[in-house]
Amino acid sequence: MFNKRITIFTGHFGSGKTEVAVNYALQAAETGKKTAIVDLDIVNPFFRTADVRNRLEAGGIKVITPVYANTNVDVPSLPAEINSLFEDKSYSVILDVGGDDLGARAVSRYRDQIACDDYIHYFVVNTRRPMTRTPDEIIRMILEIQDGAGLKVDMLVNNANMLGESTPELLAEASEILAVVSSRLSIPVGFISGMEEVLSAYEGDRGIERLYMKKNITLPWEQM
Amino acid sequence: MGEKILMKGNEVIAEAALRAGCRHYFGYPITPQTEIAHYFAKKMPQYGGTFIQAESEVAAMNMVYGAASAGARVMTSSSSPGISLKQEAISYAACAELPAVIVNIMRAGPGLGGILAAQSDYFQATKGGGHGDYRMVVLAPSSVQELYELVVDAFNIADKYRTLCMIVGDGMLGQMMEAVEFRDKEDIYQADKSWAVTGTGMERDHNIITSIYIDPEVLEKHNLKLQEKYRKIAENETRVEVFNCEGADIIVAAYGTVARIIKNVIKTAEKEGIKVGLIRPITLWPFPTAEFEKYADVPQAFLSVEMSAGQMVEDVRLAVNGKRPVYFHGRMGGMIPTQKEILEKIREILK
Amino acid sequence: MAIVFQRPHALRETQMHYCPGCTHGIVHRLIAEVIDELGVEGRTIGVSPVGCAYNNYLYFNCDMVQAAHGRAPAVATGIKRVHPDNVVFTYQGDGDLAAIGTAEIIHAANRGEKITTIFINNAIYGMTSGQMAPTTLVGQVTTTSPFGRKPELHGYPLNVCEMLSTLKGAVYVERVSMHDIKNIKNAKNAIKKAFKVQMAGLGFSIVEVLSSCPTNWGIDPVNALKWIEEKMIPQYPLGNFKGKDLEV
Repeated sequence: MFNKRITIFTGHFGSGKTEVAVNYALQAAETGKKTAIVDLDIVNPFFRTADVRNRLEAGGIKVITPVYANTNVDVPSLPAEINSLFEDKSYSVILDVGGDDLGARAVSRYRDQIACDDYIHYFVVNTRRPMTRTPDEIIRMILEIQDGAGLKVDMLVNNANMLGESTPELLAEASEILAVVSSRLSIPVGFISGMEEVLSAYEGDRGIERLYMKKNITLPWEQM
Repeated sequence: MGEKILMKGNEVIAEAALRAGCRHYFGYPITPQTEIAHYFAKKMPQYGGTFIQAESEVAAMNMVYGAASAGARVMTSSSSPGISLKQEAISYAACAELPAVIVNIMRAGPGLGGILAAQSDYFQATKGGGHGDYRMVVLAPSSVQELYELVVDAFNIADKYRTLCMIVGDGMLGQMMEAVEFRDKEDIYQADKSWAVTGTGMERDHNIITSIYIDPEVLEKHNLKLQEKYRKIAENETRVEVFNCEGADIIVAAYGTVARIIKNVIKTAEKEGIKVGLIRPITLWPFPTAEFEKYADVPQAFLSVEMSAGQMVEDVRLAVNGKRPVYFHGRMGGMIPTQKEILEKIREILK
Repeated sequence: MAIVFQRPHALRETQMHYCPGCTHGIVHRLIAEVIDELGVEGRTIGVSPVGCAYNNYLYFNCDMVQAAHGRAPAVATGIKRVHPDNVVFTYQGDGDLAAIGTAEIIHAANRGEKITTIFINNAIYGMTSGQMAPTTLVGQVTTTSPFGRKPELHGYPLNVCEMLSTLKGAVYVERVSMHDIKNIKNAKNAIKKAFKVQMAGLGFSIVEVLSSCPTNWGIDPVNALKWIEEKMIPQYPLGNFKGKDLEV
């Protein structure tokens, strides 16, 4: 982890991409890297990176969001500022891409700039989401997203969770499903992600890297 | 019960409808509920059903009118401005006694307003919207699990009474992700639909679906029949959650996601020695008047908390009927009431 | 004794409410004869409009649904998608179809919805007592164009068949007239073909019927028919716009 200049996160919408991307960015910044995160989610106007802008900026991270993120408008305009991150190579850039092939399309317009750069494309999977429950469904989703993004998936991320009801058993269950996907597509699992308390209790897959996450995105009734 | 999975509110609406036997969906894209259409567009072909992205909300609701006339379980969904456009066919369908389910994932208004969460369509949903003396059952879930259960119930209630049922949620409920557990099999009310247009088969007299009655006496009679039906629905289908109300210092009325904020307020207030009760109408129409009457003498005051300028509070006042003061706290425009400001309001009232 | 003329089975034994000299009744009869001849009464569902024909659900023996003003194509879409094997037709006037329901008819046609529309064009609003319709002729006096329709104020008459025939989903488009026996016979053939096109699952079919409204035109029935021939047909030429060679 943290060793590529551009890190792309795609996945089925609701896979937990944003939570993964935010935690990944915060930890990347902690390693001393000059970090930027781009919210490329033109699909979902709610609960997105823009919500945690303050936290990210406090961590010294540059945050770029769609022009109208978290406002009362849903025009999916992308800011021109994004281009500067492809020019200024001093940044480590994390791209939080919208869900499904539809969301992945937003990244496609940058694919030429990305392809000639040092990048990695992670596909985030939550096997407790409909449409990514079985190896067949996951493979179909990967193929659709690759098609939409115009960029091949390099690694999988096991992000099996059910929010507050997550357990280590879910990660174990997902590990078996992803093993099938890995062997059929020859795409390895890059890392396992989960909330600290859940992931630390997971004994399996010790050979695979882990992203211990803190909860950054909260619902209104969880806030004071 | 099956396995728990993580789903978005909007997806659950579509999945629940499919489980309830709905095979016909007509809609038009509008944020924040479009995932419902996305889900149907992907899934309907697998079920041999119909998904049409209509040319307008007006057309979509009239397609619902046609499909319901034809005896199908049918649904449409939209968000506030789109629901305004559906009102024509809603009124017609209410008069023609057509069963159908309408989902309104409310956004902030008036006008084009904004896409963020609001509850400012309470009046529109419960007191008309369309013209004429009609009612529809309005269900207001507060969690994704309850959303699933109420969508299934909505189809059953619709068929049982030949009525429209509306599910109202706000953008948060539509967009939020929560664990949900589906039943292995749904209880589906088997309605007699011999009134539907299916073709006479040359075996019966023709069926007519209409909302026009040119003889005033006949139209009044039809209206009285509708009113009697609404009375029966009120008697049988009123739903409410009452929480922490015995001996409460103050009772808060809130529905949908706002009720979840109140549940956290209750915990915090308890630490300060304030007992806050919650009456959460699950059916906004029929309104759970009886529960408010029952607890009208208990607290010092009532407080209605809404994401509106104060709409449900009118029904709370009618139900409390002057026995206690009824206060209001609301936010608009996509702003969400915070625990902090609700607590301050409660302290101020009880001072 | 041989029966040489009788009420088609698809028409109910009811007195119609239309004014003397109005051609709605003739069109109803033609539709009913077609339903009889095709033997589809038992699986036909009709959609009534808002306009003078609002209650023609009382006149047809098949199942009927009354729709809101202009929405018949949307309602028919809903019905047809539930019962794809039934025969579904809408019956709409020029205010209904060409003004308030323009979006519905264009998109039903464009989707290639397998329904048949019978479109009554009498260049005026009959039900609400003689207001200007989208199809009102230039110079024609109505209660809302008291000085005659002026293009600079009201625009030009709307030619529905010409417009719809540009759409791929509309596979059979024909304009006919009620002004004499020969044309009434043509009208019946067109209606029959439109139904057959639907039954063959080919797409959307529409027959526009130039009709008279003696009451709101203020012309006696005989001259009203002449008015169709002399005034309306130059603006609304008769004939097939699409699907002439379809074999059904």
